[in-house]
Amino acid sequence: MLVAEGITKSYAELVALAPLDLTIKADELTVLVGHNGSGKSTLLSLCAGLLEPTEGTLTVDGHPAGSFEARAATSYLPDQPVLYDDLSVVEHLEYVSRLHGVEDWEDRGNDLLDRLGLAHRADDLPSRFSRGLRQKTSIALGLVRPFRLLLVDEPFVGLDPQGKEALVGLLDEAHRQGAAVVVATHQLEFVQQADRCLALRDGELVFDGPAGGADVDKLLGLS
Amino acid sequence: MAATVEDWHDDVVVGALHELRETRRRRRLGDWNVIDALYKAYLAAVVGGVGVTLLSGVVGDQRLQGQAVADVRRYGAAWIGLVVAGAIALGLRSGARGGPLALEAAEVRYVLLAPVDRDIALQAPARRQLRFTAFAGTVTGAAAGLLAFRRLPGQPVEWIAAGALVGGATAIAMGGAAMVASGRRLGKRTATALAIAVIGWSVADVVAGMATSPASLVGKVGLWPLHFQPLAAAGLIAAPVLAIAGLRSVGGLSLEAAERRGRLVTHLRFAATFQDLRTVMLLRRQLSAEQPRSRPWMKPKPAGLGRVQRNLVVWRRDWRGVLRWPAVRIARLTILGAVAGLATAAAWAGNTAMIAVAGVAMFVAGLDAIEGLSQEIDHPDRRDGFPAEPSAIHLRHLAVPTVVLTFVALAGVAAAAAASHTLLALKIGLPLAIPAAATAAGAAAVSALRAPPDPSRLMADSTGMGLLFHHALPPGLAIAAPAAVLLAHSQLKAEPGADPIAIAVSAAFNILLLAGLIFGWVRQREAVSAFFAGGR
Repeated sequence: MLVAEGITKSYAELVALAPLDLTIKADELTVLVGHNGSGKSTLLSLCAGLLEPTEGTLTVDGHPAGSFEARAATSYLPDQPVLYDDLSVVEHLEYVSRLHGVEDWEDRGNDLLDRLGLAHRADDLPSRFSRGLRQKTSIALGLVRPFRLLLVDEPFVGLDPQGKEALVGLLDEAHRQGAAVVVATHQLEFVQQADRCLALRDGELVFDGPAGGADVDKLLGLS
Repeated sequence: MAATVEDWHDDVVVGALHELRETRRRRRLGDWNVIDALYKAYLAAVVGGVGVTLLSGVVGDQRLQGQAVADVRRYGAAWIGLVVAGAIALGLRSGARGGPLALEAAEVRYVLLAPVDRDIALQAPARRQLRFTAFAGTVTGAAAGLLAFRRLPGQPVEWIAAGALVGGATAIAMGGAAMVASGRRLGKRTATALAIAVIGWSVADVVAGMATSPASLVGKVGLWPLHFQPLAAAGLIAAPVLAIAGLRSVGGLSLEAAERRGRLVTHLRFAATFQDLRTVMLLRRQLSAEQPRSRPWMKPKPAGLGRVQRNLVVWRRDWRGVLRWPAVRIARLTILGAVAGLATAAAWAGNTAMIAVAGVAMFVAGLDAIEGLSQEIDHPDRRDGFPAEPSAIHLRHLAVPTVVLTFVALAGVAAAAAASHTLLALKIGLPLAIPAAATAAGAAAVSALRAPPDPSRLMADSTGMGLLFHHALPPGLAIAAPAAVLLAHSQLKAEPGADPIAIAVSAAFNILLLAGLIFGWVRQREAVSAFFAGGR
């Protein structure tokens, strides 16, 4: 699903991501761990096509990341929710769905709002929301459209326990339905649920293996 | 949910994009406040009118005759072409940094990351940008045409029309060049090389007194009221060609640059709304990718532990910042110094209004130089955690800017001496360099430290005056030193045998007193405010 061959990202003298080779299969739930500044967000932004690699190639379903086909297949939930100031939650859902060619979005949209506890705020402007509610809106927007690769950056930040639980359920559902899901997180509970764990340190991949092992705890500095 | 991606179609998606953009546009229009818009138009007209009137004073109204008109005919097109080339060069540089479009962050995240043809998705914002740029260029060109009419033979309508044509074409060419550079992903070096080539061709035309470059041909259009050459219209073709090329390549823009630019422009508009000049400067620097050097020009020695060293902590911190300034910032300050010097020399020669240009140049240099103070103001929580009065810290932050601005003022003195070919500029300018630097640093500090007046606390009919005073005061303070040069000039005129150095030293003393008052205000600001608030 996602294939990276020798990708690097540098900003002048700063190497944000050292040469990286990686293959992520469809229906694989992968967690990406690492300390702040280790390159997690850079890697996800590269996969989403928001950033371009300094060197190397990155493909999604055989198409270069950021290409028309790759954009259709990839859904990216950034760590900072980005929303329009003048659209309500439900208008956001309609806009994003229709940009992805989905005309019958309402059932799916309403279901997501229910599960994330946003149904009663559907007609409100998210520009007036708290950080947590904006994050929930952003999650709904990432999941309302079709995708085969889901990239999620620090999704639990700012969420209440119900929100976290709903998100875990939604990510699990996406995984079960066959999407490749990559989640950058520090939430240990979620790491235990994943099939695979990738750990980055100072832009280098230092661990690639099954999640939940002692190695992951050590990499996170928790044991 | 994660099942299908095959079910979308281009026309449906593009239709949805247009439909939803139209909905947003209608909503914005629905929120449009007619009174507010009329007030903005009124303010723009007043500011524009004042600007044109000031420039009219600089240009004068003495009609050129004979040889002077012949010189304008020979060199004028190339000089106008140089301005056109400069605008195109600016466009190329802006495009290499991701300009000229400033998209909403959400537009980048949801539209440009959706399976939508980016060329189609970006047509509307790109056309809107070109329309606005063309309008601004046309108005500016028309104003320039009006000024040209005051000195040159011909009908006012002809000059205004020619100016508008040149201004509009220049703006469209600039916007088109920026879109080509951005869409074709020209690197900064390539864009700079192209910019140098475009300007170089025009400089060669100026030197040779010819009009060979397309920019110079556009310049010939600007002189149509003087000498109508229909073939010059060929130069205007460059503008639509660049605009079409720009619109066709706009979809290739870098998302990374677009997102960064969109974010900064949003902050910039916010800062401008709150009339926060210092933040506007900071964001403009970020917008042009002006970053501090990762390695300083020189590495200062580590500080000792003594009392003197502790007292110098702000001084050392500010030098650390200055030593990381990129070359472009040093060059900008030097140019601002030279502009101030040349404008003062022009004022000495009779164009009194140029004093304002000199003062504003020093004030802008001051805003750049007080970076340490501005950072302190931006992080009040940290500052308030120091075991010192905030105003004492603010005052200490003015020492390094004063030293830096002294060098800026010296660049101005050198430029004035070079332009006037006399030692008099040095005799008058050198004693005034430090006082000019101190007032410029103080003026910038006043701008950074004062919050804009709260309109709700002003009388309705004095709101405009209150705001005008708020914005005019800091540059007004920076004008004091160049104005002292004019006073020295009139004193020398009244007493031809007087020693210019003695006159300049006396003027410098007065300006230093003013700087002292400003520094005192910085130190006692809270006490002064409390006093005027009736001790509350």
